[in-house]
Amino acid sequence: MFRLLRGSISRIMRYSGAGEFSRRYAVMNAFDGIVTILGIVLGSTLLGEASAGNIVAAGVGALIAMAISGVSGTYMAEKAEQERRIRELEEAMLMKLDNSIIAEARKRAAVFSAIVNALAALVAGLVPLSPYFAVLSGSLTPHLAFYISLGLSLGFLFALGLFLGRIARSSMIVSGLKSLAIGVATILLITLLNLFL
Amino acid sequence: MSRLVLDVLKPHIPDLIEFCRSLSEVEGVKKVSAVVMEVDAETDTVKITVEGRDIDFEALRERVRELGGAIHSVDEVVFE
Repeated sequence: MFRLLRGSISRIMRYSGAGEFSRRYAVMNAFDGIVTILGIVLGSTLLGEASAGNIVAAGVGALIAMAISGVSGTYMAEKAEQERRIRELEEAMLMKLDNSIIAEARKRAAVFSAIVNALAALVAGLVPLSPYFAVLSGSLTPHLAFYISLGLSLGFLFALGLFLGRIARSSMIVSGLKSLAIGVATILLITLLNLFL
Repeated sequence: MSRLVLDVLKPHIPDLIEFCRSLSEVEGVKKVSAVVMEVDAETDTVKITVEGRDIDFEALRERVRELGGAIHSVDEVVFE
């Protein structure tokens, strides 16, 4: 019936505004993914003698949990939000919009946002975790993997900051440095914790 | 039916260009032109002129509904 809409992500974006919040979710969850892995890597290396296997297991476990929580949480929140918008529009139009492409696009937008949300955390988290996969395959030493992982985390955070700066059309460098500062603050806090424990 | 002038209430999205493009794909329709009469917080009132040969009015009304709009009145009709 809706051959107009089928398979057209760009249409979903235009009709529901999903482009904007998907972008927001993607950045927010990429941040979450990176900082979580940064915490696991730092915590387990500084506070204890965790093996690369332990770090990979803890990291992958945390990322899967984040993806599941991202999918379910975003879907429910976004579905409620989109349904409210449809109801508001129905009140303005004085008619039901059940079979319209707007309602259809808004319902699909909730699914789309949920998937983006989960994937962003998963993919972003796997980047700083990747050196430990290399350790498991025997191509890196754990010591080197630790520094590469930190570098990747900070680099990715800086890149996200640049991206946010571009969206805000403000200084990309300042925005990149702000986001880098979040990573550095995480490192300092965990290192400080290490001194007291 | 070769010409119809419709008074339509539509949401802001899809915009007028997409709205009319979609209407122009309805069977029998050759030309669609539209003028915005009023813009409200959530809706637009537009006057849409549809021209063609053997325009399928039911299909046209269904398409307007699928696009989230409503035909409020038919203001002009021409049969040839």
